[in-house]
Amino acid sequence: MKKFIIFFLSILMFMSINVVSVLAEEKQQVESTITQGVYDPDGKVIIVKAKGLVCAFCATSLEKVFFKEDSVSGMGIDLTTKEILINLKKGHEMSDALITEKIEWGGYNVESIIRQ
Amino acid sequence: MNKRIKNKFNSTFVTCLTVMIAVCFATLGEARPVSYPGGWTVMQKNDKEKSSLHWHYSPTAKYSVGYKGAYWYEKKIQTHSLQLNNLLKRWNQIDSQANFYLKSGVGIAHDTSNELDHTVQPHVYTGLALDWEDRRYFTKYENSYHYFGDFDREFEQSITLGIAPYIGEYGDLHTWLMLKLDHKPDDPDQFRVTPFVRFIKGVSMFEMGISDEGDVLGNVIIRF
Repeated sequence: MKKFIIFFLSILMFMSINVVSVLAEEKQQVESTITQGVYDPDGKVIIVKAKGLVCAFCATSLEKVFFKEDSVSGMGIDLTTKEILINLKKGHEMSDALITEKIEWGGYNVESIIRQ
Repeated sequence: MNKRIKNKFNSTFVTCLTVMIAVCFATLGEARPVSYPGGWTVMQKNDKEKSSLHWHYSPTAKYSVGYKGAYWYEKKIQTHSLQLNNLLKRWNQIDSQANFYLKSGVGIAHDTSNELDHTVQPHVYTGLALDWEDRRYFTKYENSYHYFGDFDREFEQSITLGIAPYIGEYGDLHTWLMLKLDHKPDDPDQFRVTPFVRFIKGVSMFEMGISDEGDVLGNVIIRF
């Protein structure tokens, strides 16, 4: 029984370390993706895939539109994957409806919204 | 004589009315933005025909309004106009974008030569532009009709094709190799071909080229 408890705790510890390292890696990845604003490690991360995002001007337009929102801390835009990473400030939220409205206001369309 | 003046007045009136209707209609259309709401754009363009400065503001995401001043070299005319650009329709796809614009303006044309005694005439113009681009290719068709009162009238159209030799990421210097074909039916040299290079970095765009007739093209666009 004692051996089983030690074995179980070892596995639990191993998994916890793994989870922590994966989370740290994810945060590092998010931080390196952000090109405008600042990274808030305690804030939520939203990834929006947009239609029509084909040029640098398009990306700049969307940055200008989103940074008008107080809740946005940082942003990163990848023209290859058409993904917009939005890092919110700690304790802030942004609904799918507002994201869609902002993207369309900027002249583009939403393909998908993923929350991390 | 009276009939001539009347015809001229009618012609001017019809042109002005057409532009006004087009402008009003376009503003109500399903327009999408070119610039982001609250964005300013400055365009300085130079080619064989004219040098122009266009400064516009997008109050909403649907259209932009601004001042356009130009000097037309061959006509020796200076124009100062209020220009309205409308994005009538945008087609967004995951890897490409297409746009349909209406560009219209109303202002004055001022003769700078001594021949016409520095007279002032109305300057009214309108035109359509349709473009499609992805990250590798660019195509554009554009036309415009200008009415310079007693000075002149002009229709012109152009096709522009472009290819990006490499695909840059956001923030990189983007380079495009472009080819523009201009067609002016009333001009003795109806066609003009201008190869040029387009560079985009951040919010700035710079274009430089030389036409088959040896005329230099140089454009700068800055958004802020």
